[in-house]
Amino acid sequence: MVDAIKKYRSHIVLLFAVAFIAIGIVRSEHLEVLRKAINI
Amino acid sequence: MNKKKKKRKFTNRNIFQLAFGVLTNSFFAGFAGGKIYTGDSKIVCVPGLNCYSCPGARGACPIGSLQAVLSGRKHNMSYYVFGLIILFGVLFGRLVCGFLCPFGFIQDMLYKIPTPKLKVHKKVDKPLRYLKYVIAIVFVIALPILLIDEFGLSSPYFCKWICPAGTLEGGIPLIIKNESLRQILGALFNWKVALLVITILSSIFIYRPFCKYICPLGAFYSLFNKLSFYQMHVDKDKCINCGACIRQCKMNVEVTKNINSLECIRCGECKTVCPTDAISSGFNFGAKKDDDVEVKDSHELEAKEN
Repeated sequence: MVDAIKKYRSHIVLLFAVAFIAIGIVRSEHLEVLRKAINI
Repeated sequence: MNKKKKKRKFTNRNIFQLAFGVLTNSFFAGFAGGKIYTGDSKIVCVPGLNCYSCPGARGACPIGSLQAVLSGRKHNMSYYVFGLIILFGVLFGRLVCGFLCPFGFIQDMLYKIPTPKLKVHKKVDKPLRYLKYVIAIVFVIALPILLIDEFGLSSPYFCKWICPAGTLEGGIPLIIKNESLRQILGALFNWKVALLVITILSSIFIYRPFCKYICPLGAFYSLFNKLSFYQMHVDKDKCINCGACIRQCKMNVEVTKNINSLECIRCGECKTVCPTDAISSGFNFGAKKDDDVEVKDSHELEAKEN
């Protein structure tokens, strides 16, 4: 199990990244980014 | 094998940097009219330090966006921006710094100005490399979360107090075109301009001082250098420990000992000087294996460095 995590650690992190992005979109954080980026 | 490699003034990497910078800042009407782009593509963060108040910017700055979400009332954790930073990090590591960051490109160009170059002594350089992590934790994460006003709002403190990229890419172009902005300039702008001038001047004499010591985005990406799908590799069988790569590396990476060091911006200059083509780089989407290169004769290398 530990060996598998070591071997595929990059893929696991990639999955986390995608999951985080998805959670952020569900929470509408991307709209907060857009609002700030266009409202200077 | 002795190879003479012709040194060009502007490398393919420089051309790529320029092209990517122009592409991500291609709202030219913004520069002409002194207005920022307000299109939907600003939902997406570009990988490098590219201020979203740059009139030409088509995307958002990850560091600015992170602070914007953390400092807002609605959320105290930004899964979306962290997710994007982690995504860029795990794909590229600090390849972003070497190829995709416009402010890194500007520093590269400033260093090409023919002047005597300064080497920061190891005793100063090594501890100073940790400063960027302190800046990332304090100014990008902690202060926007903790320093809140009576309305529950905070500020993007790194952008507000430090970032010279924002001053150069956003502040100055907007001020040139907007008289109303010029009238409200104060001490904070003077401070930011002073920091920008210091950054520009030091970049002429020292290679990428902002990237080495200050940039919080570089700090985040550095954590992914050993993990990313893009990796640098030294072939132990081909390496003759001549030290040419170490002498060439302007980020002071010990190439043969730790090629995927946190400080490596994956510029590839070590590859161009290797006489035996022992250094390679590229994407590997397969399973990871630990293949750190051992120095064959560390005493020889130390002697060369001294």
